[in-house]
Amino acid sequence: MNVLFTISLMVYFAATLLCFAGTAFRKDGVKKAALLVLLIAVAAHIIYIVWRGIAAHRLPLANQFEFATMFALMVAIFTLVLYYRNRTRMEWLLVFGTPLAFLLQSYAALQPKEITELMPALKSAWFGLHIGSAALSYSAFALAAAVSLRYLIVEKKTDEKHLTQMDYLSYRLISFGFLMLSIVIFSGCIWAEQAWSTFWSWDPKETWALITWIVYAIYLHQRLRLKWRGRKMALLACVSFVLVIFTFVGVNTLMSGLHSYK
Amino acid sequence: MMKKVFGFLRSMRFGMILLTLIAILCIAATALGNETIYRSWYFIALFAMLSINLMFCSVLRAFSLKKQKKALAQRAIQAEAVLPVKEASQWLETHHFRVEGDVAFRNTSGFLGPFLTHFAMLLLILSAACIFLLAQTQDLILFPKENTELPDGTVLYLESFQLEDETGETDYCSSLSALLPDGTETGGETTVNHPLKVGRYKIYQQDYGYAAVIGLKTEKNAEEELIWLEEPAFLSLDGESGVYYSQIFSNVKEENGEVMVSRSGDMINPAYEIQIVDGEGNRTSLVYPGTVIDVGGITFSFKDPGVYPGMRVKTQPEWTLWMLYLSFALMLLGLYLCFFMIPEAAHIKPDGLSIIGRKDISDRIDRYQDELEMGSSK
Ligand code: HEM
Repeated sequence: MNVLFTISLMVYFAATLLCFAGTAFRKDGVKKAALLVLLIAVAAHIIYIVWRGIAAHRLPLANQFEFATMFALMVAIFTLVLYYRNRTRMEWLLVFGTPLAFLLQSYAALQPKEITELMPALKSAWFGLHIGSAALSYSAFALAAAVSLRYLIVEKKTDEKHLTQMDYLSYRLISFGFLMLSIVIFSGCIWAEQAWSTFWSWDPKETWALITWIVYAIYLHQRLRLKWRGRKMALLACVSFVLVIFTFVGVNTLMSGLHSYK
Repeated sequence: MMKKVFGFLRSMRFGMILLTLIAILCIAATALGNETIYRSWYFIALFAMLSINLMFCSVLRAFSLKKQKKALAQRAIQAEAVLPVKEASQWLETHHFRVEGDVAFRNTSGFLGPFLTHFAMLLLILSAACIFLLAQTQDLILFPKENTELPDGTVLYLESFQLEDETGETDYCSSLSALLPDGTETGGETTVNHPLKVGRYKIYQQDYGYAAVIGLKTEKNAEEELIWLEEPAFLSLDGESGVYYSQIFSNVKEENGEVMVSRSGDMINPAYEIQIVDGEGNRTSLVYPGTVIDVGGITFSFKDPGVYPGMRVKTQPEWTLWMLYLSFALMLLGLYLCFFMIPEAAHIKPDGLSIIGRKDISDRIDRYQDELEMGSSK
């Protein structure tokens, strides 16, 4: 069944190429094809993840590989949902969301894929909520960064209305991500108290989740306080996402703690 | 001067500076692997100042909610029409606006969002401080079939401990019974993620270890008594001759006549290191489970090493828990109101409606306009 993972990876790659080609040559037919191919990739991806959950008898979110591939799927689904909600104005979103999903899926491809038994500390009702909302929150932040990146790229050649719309979309994504990240942290606290007796132990992963949370709280306030809009916010959204990536990848590889999957 | 200082203390700018400093210290602490930073006075002082800052800004917000609503209404009245709606009052009704005087509102619960969020943050810091000050934990080791007394007089008795359940899945599970100081008997199982409540205590399955298990028989006491040893000990009747137990090896291998031992890991081929102390002096020796020796009037019978649980015992006032949970719930509700209940005010003009949001709600207005266009093209 791992072949389905490889297929979805390749189809994401194909969708990425078609998105770029459609935009570069301004061919509507190619763009339509890109969308169709992306839908196929997502379908294969969903089947793979569901199969994995059934095969493992648990939620497929228990290690770096499973989390990364779920992260990729969420980014793809978010992209599609936003695209369909706002079809006329959000065509460009595919061009940013699709490669992002492909990159994350490639990162997942580099991780060990064996199905492992859950260690006892992970067997908890909080497991799904904690890690599921982390996947949602990270993907919202990822897409916000992608939208902001586009903002920075097209800033000079686009009309004000369109820029405002991107700025607002990125804010909406970050606010959703922030709410989800709060759920991650709170459910993590409650779970930690059940498993290890303390709500908070300043484990590196916890601490980095807090750092990320603070940085996005600052983002939200800067919008209000300095009425920062547009360019500065787009930059801040991109920089903050680097912290998300560090929390996701860097902490696991560079620091050890309770959250290392061992 | 006082006014200026107070103004700064309650300003959002000060709040953001504090948050930035906290984040920087956290980065430093994780990068240096220095956990003492989290307990340092300056780290705690930052949280104290954040609380003061939050208190002034969120308490004051509660008083200005009415003002905010009025200001929004004012802006709606002054704004130009953006929606060329003909049946304005009907449109407002179908879009869940509530008419108050000559202005209509939607999502007014959103005004409460920032207040709730900041109040919850304050409550959260306060709960964390209470828990930090009031929760007490103690780690202890329990051996099967042995009693252990806790500080308040509660007696714990470990019935059994297992590493795996019947199906062979890892499952650290202790069966406990307890006698509370008031004489009540209670008990149950504690596993990882499922602490057991015993009186004022919460008992957590924390880790496990292996102990030497030795059966002792003497002439006077012919029935074998089992003892568990987790630390070195001298076992003797007269204090002179007997067996000194030093440690367990989890795996003993013989390779080319050389003995290799490992101290950690699974019990593959375990053995005990002991010293026999008698009239002939001290002799260190390695004994395998199953060995029986007589020294100084005791028959020592070495058994397989036994596995025992490491427990963490915690006391914490119940209300601190509920306070923390309440702060979580209020903060999530507050954030939901901030982000998904953005207040809007609408004012009916001769040529349609003006719509104003607390912040830019251009997206919402776009949506209304799209909807209107689609409606008219039908
Ligand atoms: C410590 C964590 C904090 C969190 C999680 C937090 C969260 C929030 C959120 C979610 C909003 C609404 C943002 C939006 O709708 O886009 C907000 C607004 C605001 N926050 Fe905070 N905040 C925090 C600390 C502070 C501090 C320390 C201050 C300092 C006074 C502050 C002052 C404000 C103010 C004045 C607003 C504006 C509300 C408005 O006009 O709509 N916040 N905060």
